Amino acid sequence: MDNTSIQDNTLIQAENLSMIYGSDHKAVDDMSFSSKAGEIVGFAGPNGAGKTTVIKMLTGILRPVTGRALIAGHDIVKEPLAAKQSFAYVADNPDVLLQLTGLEYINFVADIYKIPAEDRAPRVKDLAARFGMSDALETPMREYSHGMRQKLMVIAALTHNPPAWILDEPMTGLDPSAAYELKQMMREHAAKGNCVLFSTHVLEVAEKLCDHIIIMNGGHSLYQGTVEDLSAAHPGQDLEEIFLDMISYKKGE
Amino acid sequence: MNNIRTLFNVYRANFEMPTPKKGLKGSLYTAFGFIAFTCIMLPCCLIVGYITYIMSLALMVENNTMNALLSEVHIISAFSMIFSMLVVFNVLFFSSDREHMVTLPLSHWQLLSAKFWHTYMAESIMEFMVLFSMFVGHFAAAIQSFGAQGVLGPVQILAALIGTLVTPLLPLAYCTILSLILMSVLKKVRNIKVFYHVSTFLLLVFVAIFLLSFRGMGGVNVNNYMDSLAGGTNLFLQICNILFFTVPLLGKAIGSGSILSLFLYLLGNAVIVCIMLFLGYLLYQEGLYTAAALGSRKKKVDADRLKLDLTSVFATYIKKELKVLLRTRAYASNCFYINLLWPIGIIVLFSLSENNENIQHFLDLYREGYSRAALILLLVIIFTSFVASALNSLSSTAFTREGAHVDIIKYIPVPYETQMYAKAAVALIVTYPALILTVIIASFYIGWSLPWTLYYCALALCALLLSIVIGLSMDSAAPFTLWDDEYSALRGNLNSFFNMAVIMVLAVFVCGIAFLTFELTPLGIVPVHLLILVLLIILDIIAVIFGRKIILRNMEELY
Repeated sequence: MDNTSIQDNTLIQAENLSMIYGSDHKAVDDMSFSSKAGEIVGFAGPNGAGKTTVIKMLTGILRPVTGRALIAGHDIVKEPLAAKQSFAYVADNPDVLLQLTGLEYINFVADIYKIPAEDRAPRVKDLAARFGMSDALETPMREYSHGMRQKLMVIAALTHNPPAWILDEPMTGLDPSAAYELKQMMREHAAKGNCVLFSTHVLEVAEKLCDHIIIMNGGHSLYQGTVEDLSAAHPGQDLEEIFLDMISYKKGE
Repeated sequence: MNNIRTLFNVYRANFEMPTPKKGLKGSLYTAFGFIAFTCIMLPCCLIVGYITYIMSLALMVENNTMNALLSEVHIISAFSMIFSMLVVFNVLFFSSDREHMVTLPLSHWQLLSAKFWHTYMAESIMEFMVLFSMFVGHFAAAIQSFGAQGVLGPVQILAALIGTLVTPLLPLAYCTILSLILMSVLKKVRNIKVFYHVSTFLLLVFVAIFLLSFRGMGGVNVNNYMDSLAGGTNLFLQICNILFFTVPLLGKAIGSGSILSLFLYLLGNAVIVCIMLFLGYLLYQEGLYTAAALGSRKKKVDADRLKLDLTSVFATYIKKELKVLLRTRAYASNCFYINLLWPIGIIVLFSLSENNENIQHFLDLYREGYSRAALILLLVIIFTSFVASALNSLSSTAFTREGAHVDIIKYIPVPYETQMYAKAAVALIVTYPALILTVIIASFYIGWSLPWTLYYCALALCALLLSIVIGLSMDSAAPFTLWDDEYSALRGNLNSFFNMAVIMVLAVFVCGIAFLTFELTPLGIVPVHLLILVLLIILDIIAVIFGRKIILRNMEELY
């Protein structure tokens, strides 16, 4: 365990992460950032920028070619179980184990995280109510809409309430009320001294929600800092224009 | 250990294909289930049990009590390895749940354990039944040869029951070990295509060993096989006794009632499973990383040179179906290349039987115009034509193969009828050439005249068309679209299994009519041939008229 990370309240730390798919496709190149307790960090970037690849390296799906990822001070490669106990992950694709009912899936995840029944019941009840899923929990997930599956993934992931949340495009498919609830919960979670890291294409969400924003393109970090600092450095431009400038988007092409 | 049980239970709950429970479709599925059990599973078990009984009886006369049973268990184990290889590889490294499961706080060997035990339970049910039948056949022969006393002791019975459940473990554990080792070797080249040929390689190895067992015996036939088993010189048996080393221990426990042998049998299996888990502990995590990081080289393309020509809707739909079939490894091997089984099989059959007196005598009778020989050949061709379509699952997975994106059938601006015809055309295009080739090869060996060759081609077409309509009707009723990987679309798909049963019943029905007409009426063999062709054409017309309506209605009602 890396004690320096814990001492300065860093819950998610990426150090020089690089990833190569196949033999020569470099998806992420020398990516470093950190996320401290109390922060909401947003990943923004165009399709193929490398956001999901970074998240996959943080969550142990991919092993970085170089660098390391620490969650609550635990190296995800060297101490995978301790690291995985410390975060909740919502993948960008909610289509998993669709033959199970919503409740069966939540219980499965809760069993893996060894959440006692007395903690599990009120938390699941609360999360299901907040996301409007109470009446759907005993229905097989194959009968859910995409948005309902996404909500269920969020409920299952958040049932064990770890210090770090890592969410890959969590708003995709959510209805406005569910998106609002999730944003509220992200704020509440960070306010309790935890951290939330999420990727998004929706710049408005990043602008309103994030304490810290990381803009990526071509596997590189183009900007890391607060939204306010970014706006101050580009006077007269809104976030969308700044973002398009940064990724060298040329209108009309 | 709790995590393994939790994962296992989740996989088990997620595995079952949802089928209609109510209404006409529900009743039909119940009936299909009954037909599949009575027409596939039960007959297979009875045939295997009977073969074991006959072989054991013959060898027991020679004072060789166990080699018949051992050779059959080895054959089952070899098949289990060949067919499980790609299944295990996909389940371990490429199932769709992988990226969700690896982020949970589970150790990778727990994930491996749960996947292994679930695959063992899910894939071995038919194997359990076949093994049980073998043991029953063996005991029946032993009782007849030596009497019940000393043959049916408690240890023997216990060993047979344990053997039924435990024997499939060893081949599956070998497949897992091979998968882990090969994945760790292949990670350096980051190319897994090599792996997909392992099943074929294993098949060739086992077939080569099997054929080498006949070396110096003058030909590949049952008599020589039995002689080599009786003399203990059968190479296949000798090598498999080493490879599947626990099987001889089981044989000893069943044959002599040795508790020590039964204990060693269990210990041997446990040791291999432990080695597999230890290797999993060392290598599985690396394999998962490799699987997640696989990718292909990005090619630079010149946008001006891209082929963007307009093709007709029907043609483009067929092209899409064929490309998916050929580029998806599971479909390519199980739906496409499997059709080569018939032409290659008939070449092998005729080549190997050049010196077989029985087959040569049968062909001589046929060439001399002996009617019953012509009838037998007709029945074989009818049966093969029906089974060819059911075996490749092209029509019975036509809708299932769309998977989670089955909605595409609904939202693309293509009439359901066009889509249905395109799917039927693909099944026909892929299957029929192989059948024509088989008929032409048979014609070469048997010496059919051109009209007879054309007749059999027409007969095969009629039988195939009927099978395709039935397959499409069944799959469109309740396609299984929630599969985790393409192998699940085939092996977890009850439609394919039920389709096979229904087609076999139909084949037996048509063969029965041919047989009874020949035996019970004064009609000669040529009129029987014509009658069967006319019957199939009438059945085709009825099937196309009603099947078309059923398939279109099912497509309308799809979700």
